[in-house]
Amino acid sequence: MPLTDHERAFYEWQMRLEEFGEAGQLKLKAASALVTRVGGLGGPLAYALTAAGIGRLVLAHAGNTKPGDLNRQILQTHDQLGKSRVESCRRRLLELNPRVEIEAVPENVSEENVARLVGAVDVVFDCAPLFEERFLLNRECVRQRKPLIDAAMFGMEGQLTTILPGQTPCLACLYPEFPTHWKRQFPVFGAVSAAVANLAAMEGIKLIAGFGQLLAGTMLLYDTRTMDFRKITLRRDPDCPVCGGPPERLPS
Amino acid sequence: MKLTIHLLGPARQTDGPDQVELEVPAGACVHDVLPLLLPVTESRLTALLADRGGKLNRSVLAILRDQVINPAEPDLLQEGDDLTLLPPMSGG
Repeated sequence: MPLTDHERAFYEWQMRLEEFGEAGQLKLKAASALVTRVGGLGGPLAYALTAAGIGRLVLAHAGNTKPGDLNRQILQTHDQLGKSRVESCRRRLLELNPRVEIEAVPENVSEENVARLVGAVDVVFDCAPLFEERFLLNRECVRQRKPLIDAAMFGMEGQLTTILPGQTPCLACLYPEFPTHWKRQFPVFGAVSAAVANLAAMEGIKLIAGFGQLLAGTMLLYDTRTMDFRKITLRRDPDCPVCGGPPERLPS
Repeated sequence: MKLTIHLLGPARQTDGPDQVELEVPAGACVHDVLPLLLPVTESRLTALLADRGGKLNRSVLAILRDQVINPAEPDLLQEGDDLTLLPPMSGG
């Protein structure tokens, strides 16, 4: 279905990019994505995808908005404290762009819902603060052959990679053992998580519209202390229990 | 040979430098570097970077010349190299 005049008016500034254009906008409109969770990283990411005009966005995040969220979770507002975080996100995103279909799921990724959540979309954005959720998403994306854009940060540093099942290393290739050191509480400036969020959004837009060069098999690292950005080449583990073996070796 | 070890992400020291210069034997692999590094860094890094056998934790990325390398492979490290150690991060 072609763009309406109304949509052309909203997206004309990004359609001026020749490698994207109206064809890219149409692909974006036809695409769907899962963002989990929608905190300091997933929130700005969802905002960027909504502004750009993705067709359908599924947001997964349990719980209610807390005061400590507001330094970075820019889709939350003071008047929503104590209320559903994901509903607050949905409301803000629709205010920004009512043309986008937003589905708010008040759940974190779990063994029970991961197949359904991943199966409902074209692209998955992993913004979860816990490795339990990241590994579940990775396993399910590999199983369903869905692209997974994995974004993470710590303190003033961020990292980003795009996992294309069957083509690139997966998260379990990089981290074959569960990182027991990682704690739910981590230092974060909102601007640092928003930076990796916006880079991840561009990675998704390029993936969907089919232009540019993806961080496939590579990882972007940046440090806002020094403003150093670098790309590193990743290694695939041929014995990876998630992507390197036959299906019966997939962990439960 | 002289190496510079860069500690990133959760391995960044809170009371020490982000990079440490070490003299290591020629032909050393990353696993061999660890027993030289840990005594001169914060004690908490031992549990973060090393497994029970004293080798580099399998989930810590060892990065040399912008490539993730196998920490067991000898002869990759050369005089004057910069080696980066990056434990997993999951902030979102």
